[in-house]
Amino acid sequence: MFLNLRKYLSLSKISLLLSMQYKINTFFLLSVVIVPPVAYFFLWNSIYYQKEIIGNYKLSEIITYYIISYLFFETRPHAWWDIGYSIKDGRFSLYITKPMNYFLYHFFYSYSYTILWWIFAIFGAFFLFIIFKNYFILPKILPFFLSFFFSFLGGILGFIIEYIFNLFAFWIEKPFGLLRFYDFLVYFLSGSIIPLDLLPFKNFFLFLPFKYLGFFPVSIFIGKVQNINLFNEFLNLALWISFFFILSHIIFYFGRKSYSAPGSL
Amino acid sequence: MKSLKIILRFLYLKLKTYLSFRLDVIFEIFYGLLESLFAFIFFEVVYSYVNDIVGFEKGEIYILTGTAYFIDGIYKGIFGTGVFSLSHLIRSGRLEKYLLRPFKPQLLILFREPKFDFIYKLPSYSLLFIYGFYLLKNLPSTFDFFLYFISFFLSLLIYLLLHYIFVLLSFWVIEMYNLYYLIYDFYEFARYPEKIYKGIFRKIFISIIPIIILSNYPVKFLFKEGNFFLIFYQILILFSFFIIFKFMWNRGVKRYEGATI
Repeated sequence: MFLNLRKYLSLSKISLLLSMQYKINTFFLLSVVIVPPVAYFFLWNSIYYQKEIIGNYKLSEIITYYIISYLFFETRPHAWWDIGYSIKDGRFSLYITKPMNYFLYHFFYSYSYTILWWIFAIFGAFFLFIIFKNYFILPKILPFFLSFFFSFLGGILGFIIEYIFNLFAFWIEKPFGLLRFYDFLVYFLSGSIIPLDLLPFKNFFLFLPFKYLGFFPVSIFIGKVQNINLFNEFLNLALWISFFFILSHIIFYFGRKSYSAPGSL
Repeated sequence: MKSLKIILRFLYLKLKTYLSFRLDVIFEIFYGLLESLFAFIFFEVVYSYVNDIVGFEKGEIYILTGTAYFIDGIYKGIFGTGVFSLSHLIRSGRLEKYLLRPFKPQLLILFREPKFDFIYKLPSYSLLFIYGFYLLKNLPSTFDFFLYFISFFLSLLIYLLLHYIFVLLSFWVIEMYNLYYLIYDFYEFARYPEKIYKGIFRKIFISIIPIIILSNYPVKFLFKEGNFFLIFYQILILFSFFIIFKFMWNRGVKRYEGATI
């Protein structure tokens, strides 16, 4: 099943075409990559008016941090809430009767859908770079690509965890409060609100897998990660991905057993 | 009076539906707590390095943040989804369902989809507010609170009309509904003190898209910085927005073509 990727690639193509259906509309969705970092710029600029260094961040580092953090975090692929909805309203039956792996179906669909987001978001980040060029740190080539690579892998991890939370719809009558709760929790734990190494108990936050969704790739981008740590971090991330991947399949297995196709024909 | 009774009855039934999903309610309460908790952690970290932000002490920033969350929560909870749904009604050609009812369609749309999750969040927002006053240690007078609530109410109406005006663009640009989320993104500017903004951004966000004033003007009355000019300015903006809203609504409805049978 895993080797037969052709059908998933066709699905990806359809998903990409769908995402391009209303390009301008998609473009506006990415205002979230541009607007909050501007607000953060003004806020941190005022804070740094009194002090040159906060934690181990200079002003330019913190501004770059927020711009890139929003770029990485907001363009990550999502396990759509539709997974949860389809379980609740019975449309899930349509998926399990198709000769496709349910996880891979959503994975490929979701990743392809975000390609256009990425293109627009990079333009958005570039726009911010032009506005705040005196405050923006340009990385060297290797950290630049490594940060995007880790962000890509972090996106996979985020997708799997979100997928797991969607699967709770098998047991919970209305799972959307839980999903919203999870969404916001990850927003914080990924370091989108504040860099994780500025927090008290930072070792705890840096142990959790969510740092790979924002904080860690951004730290590479602004040059705060030594190369020597990268391989360890890569292994660590691979372990987290493997762990949640296996867990998602276990939960899916038991969830499917308890599924009673409510509302389906 | 009859209209108000209908609206209240309608809201009551919606609330009952929401409360029937108890686990969902519990997660919504936790969600609200997270919002306040993360704002708290953010400013605690910042204030561990500095004493104030453009003159805003820690207590004042919590009162500002609490106010910003209150306005946003109440707006999104009661009106936000309804206002946003207008774009969907126009796109799908089902607006006439509302235009033909013996009730003001603008109001009907406004109360179309109230979400009661904001009710569960209000206590956690209050915690920020109360903690802010605890740090300040001097309570404003009753009259200051009275002016605060007037300004707060005006801010809520300005936010409502601003979003409504944005969504009214649906009559002209049908497939750009993500544009209407922009206001929610801009609201990020309301969470911080007015004085941090400089230059063209400040001018735009005080006059054309007056997001900054939404939270900043009410709290000025609590910090003894308020005056009647602020309320006058809010009324002026509200009045201007109302004129624009009426104009766009009338033009939009004339332009609208239904799609239902």
